[in-house]
Amino acid sequence: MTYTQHRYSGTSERTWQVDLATASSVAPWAQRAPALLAGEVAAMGESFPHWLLALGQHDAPVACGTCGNPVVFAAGAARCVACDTPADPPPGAQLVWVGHLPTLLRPASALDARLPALAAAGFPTFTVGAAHYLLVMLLLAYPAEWPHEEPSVRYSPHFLRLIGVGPGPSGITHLLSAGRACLYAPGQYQGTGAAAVLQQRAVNHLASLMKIAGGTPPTEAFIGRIH
Amino acid sequence: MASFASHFARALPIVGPALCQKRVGLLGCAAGAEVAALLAASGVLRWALATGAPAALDSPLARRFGPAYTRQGADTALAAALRAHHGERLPWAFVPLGTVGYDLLIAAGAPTTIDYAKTIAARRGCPLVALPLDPRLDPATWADGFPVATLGGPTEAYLTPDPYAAAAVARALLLRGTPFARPDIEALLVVRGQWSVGSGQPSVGSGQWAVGSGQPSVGSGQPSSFILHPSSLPQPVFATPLDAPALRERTALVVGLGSLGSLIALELGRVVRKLVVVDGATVTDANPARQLYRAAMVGQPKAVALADELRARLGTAAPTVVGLTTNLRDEQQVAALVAAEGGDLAVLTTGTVADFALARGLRAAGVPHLAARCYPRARYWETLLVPDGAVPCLGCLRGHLYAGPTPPPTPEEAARYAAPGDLMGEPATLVESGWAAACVSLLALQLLAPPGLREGWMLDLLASGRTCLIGGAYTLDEGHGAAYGLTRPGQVRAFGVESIAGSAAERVCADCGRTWPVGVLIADSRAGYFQRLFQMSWMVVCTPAIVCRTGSGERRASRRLRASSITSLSKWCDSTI
Repeated sequence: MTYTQHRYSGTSERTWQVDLATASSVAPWAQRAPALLAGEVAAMGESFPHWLLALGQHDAPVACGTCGNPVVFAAGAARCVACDTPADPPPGAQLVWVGHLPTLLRPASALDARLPALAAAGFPTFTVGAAHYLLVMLLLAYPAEWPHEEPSVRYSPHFLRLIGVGPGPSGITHLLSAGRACLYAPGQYQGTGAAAVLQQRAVNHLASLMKIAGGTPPTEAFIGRIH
Repeated sequence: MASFASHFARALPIVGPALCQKRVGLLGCAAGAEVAALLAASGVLRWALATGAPAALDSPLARRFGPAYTRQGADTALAAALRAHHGERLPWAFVPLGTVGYDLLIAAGAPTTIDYAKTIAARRGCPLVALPLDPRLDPATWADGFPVATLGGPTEAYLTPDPYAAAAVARALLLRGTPFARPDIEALLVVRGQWSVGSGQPSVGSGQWAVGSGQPSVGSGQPSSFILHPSSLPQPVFATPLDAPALRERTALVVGLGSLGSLIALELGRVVRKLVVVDGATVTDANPARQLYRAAMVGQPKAVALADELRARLGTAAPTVVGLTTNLRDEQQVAALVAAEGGDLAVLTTGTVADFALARGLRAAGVPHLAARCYPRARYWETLLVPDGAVPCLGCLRGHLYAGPTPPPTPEEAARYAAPGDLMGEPATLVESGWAAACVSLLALQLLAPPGLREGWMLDLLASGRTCLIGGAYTLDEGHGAAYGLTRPGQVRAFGVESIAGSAAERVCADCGRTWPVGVLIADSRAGYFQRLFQMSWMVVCTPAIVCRTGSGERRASRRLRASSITSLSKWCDSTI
């Protein structure tokens, strides 16, 4: 898979192959079953082509020590997506996906007043036809024993603060600790890949959070069982 | 020494405080010791015990607590055993049967004992639960598969050959009408058949596990059949492998010495030459209520305490017991352990995700193994059998099967609202986790036996490839069908690779690398819609300065939002530095 990156300080594009061998080296599950990782990258490239496979630790992206940007896997090393500086995987390193999900903005909702602050913080809006969407930054992190364990999907801490939803844990907002979305009931996760987790669970979770931020009572925002 | 609250900390959320106010009469202390132990572990501390002769060495009392309790009258010995296990500080009250009233009578032993108990219960006007010494009963008289028959007579009386079923029924009767009632068990007490002591001619049941198909039916949740006739638990039908000299030369490993592992170690310890028990934890206040440790052992390393307890309970029949106070975490540690101690069978009961790494290590070392765990509150249990490299490994099946509807979250899960993870300190009682341990012990002993000595049901199970078993002590249905398709307490269903679930046509096992066809497709009809939306948004905006070529053509991105998008990425990184 080929990724193209625009340096935001200029106009040049950078293209690189996702280095599966390097990526595998930080995830024992990928070392044991390289085909799994290849399948994950292919599926994400198909459904979420704008998401980055990055180096993570403690369910957060590892930041480049030079410029603070994410570290990706390219050309035989983990290296900064912006400045190309190589980075050594830290202890407990993991593979994460980072990217944006679009979510529908309801017209004339209580969230409108927060949109300027969201845009300033890096959560832009866009329009398709008559529908307005907000792009929300999320992270999906593979646990050490994936796919036996559920991947964690977390919201950017800024996002939850800006929409006025506490970071959790709370059964009201279906948020676990540190902005982690509660996507599956205990025992319900069955090893589905990152793309399916995002499509089938994270999108709905985000939509429900947006309803809450827009003034809908939490008990009505989440469809289905309220724990 | 633990207080009542800390000792029963795991049981109280399930049975409440009222049980300790109940008094239970017991006629047949030697034969009924197992039921008494199960109820005492739920907080029944007030007993009216019938005076009895010293128990025999092969009695349930001696099997449960050890040969040291055969030297005095069975009632005295049972009281002493319960006090020694749970601690003297608990508010015990042992009185002779007949001197006080009681809320429930349990009778265990010969038909004459049970006949006499019917008379007493009728006179007292209390319910009776009877446990015959001869476990042979006609399953046709059971309550819809649950091994309980109505015992004819003027009072409410039930008969069962299974001590776990007896304890479950007795507790359900004691808790009837309280917030801790068990309607699923009470519903089974309205039974079809009756069993009359003396006049009936109990036939010999199958004595085997009838293995049912685990073929899932998405949406319906209906089981195709049931598996377990619990009359086979825990020991009657297992005479052949237990007596096999080949087992006496075996070495068994048990990793994880909690409510499953410590009890399984006792059953394995009866037959093997050498037992290696491994756990890095120490005994806590709440452990003795469900585990093999005595209250006096609180604070000791589990592996050391269990080794001592096994020697005490098994007496001269005890195997060589090696206790290792370590937490095994990876394949290399397993390889070292097997090289040092050997191993003909390993039982993984850590209750943690470490099971996967340990199973990989055992598979690499060629050691047959099984991995067992209870689900929250021990409402259900699961065991994966891996007798050799030909069958699916733990990673192939655990967590990847569609087994029917899932149960509602436990109150603890709902209140905790934490990420899924290791099961530690979860409320449960010995009635449920002990039954799970008994079932897993039976499976472990079958795997330990050479294939030629395994019983037919196990051979059929392995031949069918359905090596994942799920058993239920509860029946829970939220309107989508019974959880895991288990419609009666005590059922077990078996699942195999045909139940593997996934969102693609095939699933690659992350542990062994084998590819399995997905039998239950997890699909979301909305996925296509979202996919189109994502690509549309990508075309319009293009996220954070990162643009992808998918092979379907390069798309140019608007640049107006790139700076803010990459700022968003950077801020996330900043917040985690």
